[in-house]
Amino acid sequence: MLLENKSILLTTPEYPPSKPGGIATLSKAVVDALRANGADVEVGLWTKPKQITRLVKPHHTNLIHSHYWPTVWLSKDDRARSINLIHGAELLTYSKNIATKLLKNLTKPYVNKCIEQAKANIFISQFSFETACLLGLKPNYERDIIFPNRIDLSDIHRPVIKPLDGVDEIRLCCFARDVPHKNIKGTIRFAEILSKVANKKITLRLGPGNYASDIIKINCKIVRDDQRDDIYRGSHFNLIFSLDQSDRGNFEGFGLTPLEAARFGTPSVGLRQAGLIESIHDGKTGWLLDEINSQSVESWWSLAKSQYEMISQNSYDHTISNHNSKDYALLFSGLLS
Amino acid sequence: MKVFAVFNTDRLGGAERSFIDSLAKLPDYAQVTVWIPTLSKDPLLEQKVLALLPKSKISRFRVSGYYYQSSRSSSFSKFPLLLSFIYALFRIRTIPIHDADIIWLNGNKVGALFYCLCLLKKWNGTLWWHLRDYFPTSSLLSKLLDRVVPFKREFVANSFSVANDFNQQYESIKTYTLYNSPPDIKDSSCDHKPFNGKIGIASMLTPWKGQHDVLWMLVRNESRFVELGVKEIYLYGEDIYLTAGNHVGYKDSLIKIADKLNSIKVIFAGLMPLNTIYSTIDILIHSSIKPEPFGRVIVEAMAHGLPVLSTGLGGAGELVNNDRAFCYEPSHDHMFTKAIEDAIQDLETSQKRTKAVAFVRDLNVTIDQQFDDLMKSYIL
Repeated sequence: MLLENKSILLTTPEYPPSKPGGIATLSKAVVDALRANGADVEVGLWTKPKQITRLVKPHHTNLIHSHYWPTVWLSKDDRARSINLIHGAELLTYSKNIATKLLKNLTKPYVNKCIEQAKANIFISQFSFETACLLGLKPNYERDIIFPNRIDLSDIHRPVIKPLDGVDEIRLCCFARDVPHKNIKGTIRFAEILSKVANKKITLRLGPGNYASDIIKINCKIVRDDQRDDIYRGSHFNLIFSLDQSDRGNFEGFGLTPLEAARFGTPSVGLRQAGLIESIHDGKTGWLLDEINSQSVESWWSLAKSQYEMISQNSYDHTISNHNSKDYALLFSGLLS
Repeated sequence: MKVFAVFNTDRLGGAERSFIDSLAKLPDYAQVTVWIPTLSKDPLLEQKVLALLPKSKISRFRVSGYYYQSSRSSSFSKFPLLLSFIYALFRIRTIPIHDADIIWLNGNKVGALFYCLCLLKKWNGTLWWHLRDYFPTSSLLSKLLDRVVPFKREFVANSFSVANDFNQQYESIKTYTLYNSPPDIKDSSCDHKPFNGKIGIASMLTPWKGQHDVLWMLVRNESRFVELGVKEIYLYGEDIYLTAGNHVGYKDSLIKIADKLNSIKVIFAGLMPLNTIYSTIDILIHSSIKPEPFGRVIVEAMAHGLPVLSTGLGGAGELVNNDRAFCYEPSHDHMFTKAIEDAIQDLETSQKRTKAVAFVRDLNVTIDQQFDDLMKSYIL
């Protein structure tokens, strides 16, 4: 086994089922991949970064941090055996509170120094890595590794590609939290423009929130985990129009939903911003728009009609081959002691 | 027709080779004076100019080193850079530009500098600013280009990608595209070839060229690559940039990543003649992780009959597709592995290589047409 006799403590602020979220999903995927390859992995859940010293103390081997922040509290020696998973937006120093923002800016050089002392830093996208460098991280290409996100692909079977030709209704989905940078308003606007451009009935499935439209049908009831996959499977397109709001503390480091949707051959449409250009390969596994307006949606729609089956198929094939969470074992095998 | 051909650097890289090829296409009656900045003691560029442009006259000029330390990631608006720019302008003030009908500037550094000189000296000839890289976003450059000038100016991009990028910033300025010339096609380019286990990258050693990305993929999947027969990876090129930036210390990082490989040998081969490169390796990897203005090594390798793997970003996307090359996304291990596997197979079948050679042949016709269009802009 690839990781037999490797002992690891993985620290995380989120881990399923107690706190579902992006970091929880990633942590679970990493833990599963490492355990499947024989590693002895313990999960250390923290709520405050300071707790990290207590968690780390009894462990003398490999440390993986799903969020880099606790490394700031570690000793230099402990940092030197740490591998940080870096997502992106958590690197930003923005805060609505002026005092917090000032403090974050003042401490940024120290925080960067802590990250630079790590054994390895795994960035989920090139964009996140470049953001870190823009914020003062001194890059070291032997320490800093770009490894695009992976997802759990167990029990996934080749889907039957949905036809787009001749359908009366186009089903769209977008699972995003109701926060400004996720751009739910832009998503609804896209769907409304599409209904005019395609002259078809549009249904948009969103995450929980209060949304309404006179032009399209919106469903924003709470979605259970087991329903989510059915919605992806039944949708013609997955939408992810997150905005790069680095100046306000938010951007999409990668964007997981294009991978989640692609498991069912559902291609994604996104904006050409931040890490989305790495999770959707424009014209190959989905489409990227520069902005949402009548012209861009019309151009996209004429492309989508002709490419739909090919892109649907590609999105599935690409994800199955390149984004399997089992690959985390290969990634860490060369990094663990 | 008196032409001043101004080089961006005195070291021989892809942009310089392409510029010399373009100059060689000028009509016989053109009197070419080649201007080369003195930055290092490398004689290769001057030798290449003398070999391919024997009738040309070579002159030298000096600029400040600091001006050359700005790079893709630097901002043109930085105050010290502005000071060094003014100093560089002062140093080139004696160049007799009034003797020239055409001033052809090969790159953005000499582009900005000589553009200002021509403006200050109220020169009224034709200026060709050859965009060898994506044009920097800068308010100072924007102000400079927005000014009314006494000379006729043409912007020449080395790919449609570079031209489009430029026109997004400067919509009203007409831009020509002139691809870099490929070398002659080898007679044996489509022949069956054995795979000797040698793959390679021929690019300057700088992070955006992605050598580290390839090495990491080899580290993570070494056993698979060994199974495929990969024995050695050649990294041709050195850090020839005089600029400051992320590439400082890059080679040391590459050496450390290379140390993690157990069976596959990494050979830092330095700068080598093209024939040596393409007769040594079996497969070329064009690994840029950022948009590449053109990607000259792609057509060079194709002309030599090598299968080419490429990320296809930027102008490189105009040269490669899955019909004639093996495309992959950066940091996508499985895509990369499959591309290597398919490329090895193509050494046997020549399917894509045959199409690649046909593409290079057609490219020469395209380039001749592009050059004619540019010349007409002067003559008409």
